[in-house]
Amino acid sequence: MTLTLVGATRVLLLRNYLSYKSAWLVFLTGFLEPVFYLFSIGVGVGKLIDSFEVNGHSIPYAEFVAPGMLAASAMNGAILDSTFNMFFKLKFQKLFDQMLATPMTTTNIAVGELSWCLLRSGLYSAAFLVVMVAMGLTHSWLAVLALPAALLIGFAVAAVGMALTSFMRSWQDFEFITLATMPMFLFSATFFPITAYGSWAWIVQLSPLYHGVALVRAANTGVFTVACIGHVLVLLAIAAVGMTVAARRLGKLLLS
Amino acid sequence: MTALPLTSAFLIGSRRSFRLVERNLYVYRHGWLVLLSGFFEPLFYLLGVGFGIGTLVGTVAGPGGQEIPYQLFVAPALLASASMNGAINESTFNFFFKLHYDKTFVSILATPLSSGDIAVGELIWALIRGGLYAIGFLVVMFVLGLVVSPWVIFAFPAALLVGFAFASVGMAATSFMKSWQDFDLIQLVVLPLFLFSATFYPIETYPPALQLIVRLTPLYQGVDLARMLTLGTLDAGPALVHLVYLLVMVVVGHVLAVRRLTRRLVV
Repeated sequence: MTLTLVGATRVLLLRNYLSYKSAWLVFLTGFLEPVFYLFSIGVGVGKLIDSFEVNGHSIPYAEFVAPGMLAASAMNGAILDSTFNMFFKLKFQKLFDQMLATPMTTTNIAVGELSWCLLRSGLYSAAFLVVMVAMGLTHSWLAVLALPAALLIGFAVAAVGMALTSFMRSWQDFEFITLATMPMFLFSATFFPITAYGSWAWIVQLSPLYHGVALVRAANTGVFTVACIGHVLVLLAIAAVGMTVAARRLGKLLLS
Repeated sequence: MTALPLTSAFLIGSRRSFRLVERNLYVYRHGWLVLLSGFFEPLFYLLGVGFGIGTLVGTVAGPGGQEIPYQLFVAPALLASASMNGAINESTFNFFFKLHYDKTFVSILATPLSSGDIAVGELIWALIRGGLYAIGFLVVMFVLGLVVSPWVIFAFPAALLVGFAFASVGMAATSFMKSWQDFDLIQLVVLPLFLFSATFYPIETYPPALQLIVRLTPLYQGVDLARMLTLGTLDAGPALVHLVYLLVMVVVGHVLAVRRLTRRLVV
């Protein structure tokens, strides 16, 4: 029996859906995290900030933080399933070995798991967008474009996450993931403009989340510049490299 | 549960609890990397929120009413929350693993150690870990010029007390946990505590009703205490309330944890 890529992806998504059905709480916490930050930093700390200007326009601080948190929620949606859970399935549950005993191929598995991450990213960001609309933090219909941007973030993060996970030896190595995502969350122009870094701004540009945040922010303000093309290309390039490495490593780990 | 007396020796444990500390020390000798993120987390937040967002905020009213730089306002709060986070990580996630999967405690009970020894030993270990983080962060504060009062010395025991309180309560809560999914409930409690306990803005920012609620939450006690000590604006009344609150957490959490551990492991 042969399995098309679409068919295989559908089966894997169904499998993940079934196994997550009893763990819906995990979904809730991942979504609530950036919402809590929006209220604490965006609204709370925002009250301490008298006037906040971006590109010469004075806007409420929460309006600046919100797109950053939407991008972070997209990252949140992709990271857990592509790193921690992926490692569990790979090394402990031996889930992928079992799947390979079916007509599924390693590519099917990689694409399927990636689609799952994207689905989760998309759900989180869509829910976050609803929160933003409810709080009056969006101003144009173009804000809907934040969703494809969020998917792009999820794609890049999940691909890199999977690639890195394939090199992990033990749970302790995940400490590096925490040590990488935490500063990314805080320093990707999420909470203050990149101009605050002065001549160190180039380091921030190394963070994939920074490019995501910039895209979501552009969508929210409805002002797209040429730089946006650059952000899209960077995220696509990261995703492509991650995917190539992940697919190659998975084949090596599972088939040999 | 049969009448297992909650005698003082039973609750406080014996010198044997240090064997458990020793055991953890050996285990972590190969996994010291795990200790890194506990040190970097408050540091990143201090740089990102304190100094970063601080460029937008400027100064903020401290507990004594005086205007202070924003990073000085945030630093003690991060010290207290780092203690909470460290204690919760050790007393919930790791504790659960040892209790249910590794069966470490079952093996330990086959030795002369009692469940009281285990609870006390794990608490001491959580305190050592929390203490290391606190010292590390205080050094960072000193290097970044955020030490402004000699009272800051007492911020260290205050941070330890916060860790002690959350470790006890965390252990008690973990003894009720059935699966890993229950840990998301802990995250759902810890994250709002971290973000809303007047950590990043003065409590006066809230409307009065919310202020009252925040004043009743556990981390706020630690944050306010650490802030008063770091800034040297100690107000005896509130400080005493914070101390008593945290001590009650320690006692209630510990008694409950020992009782539950005994029921799960011995009977």
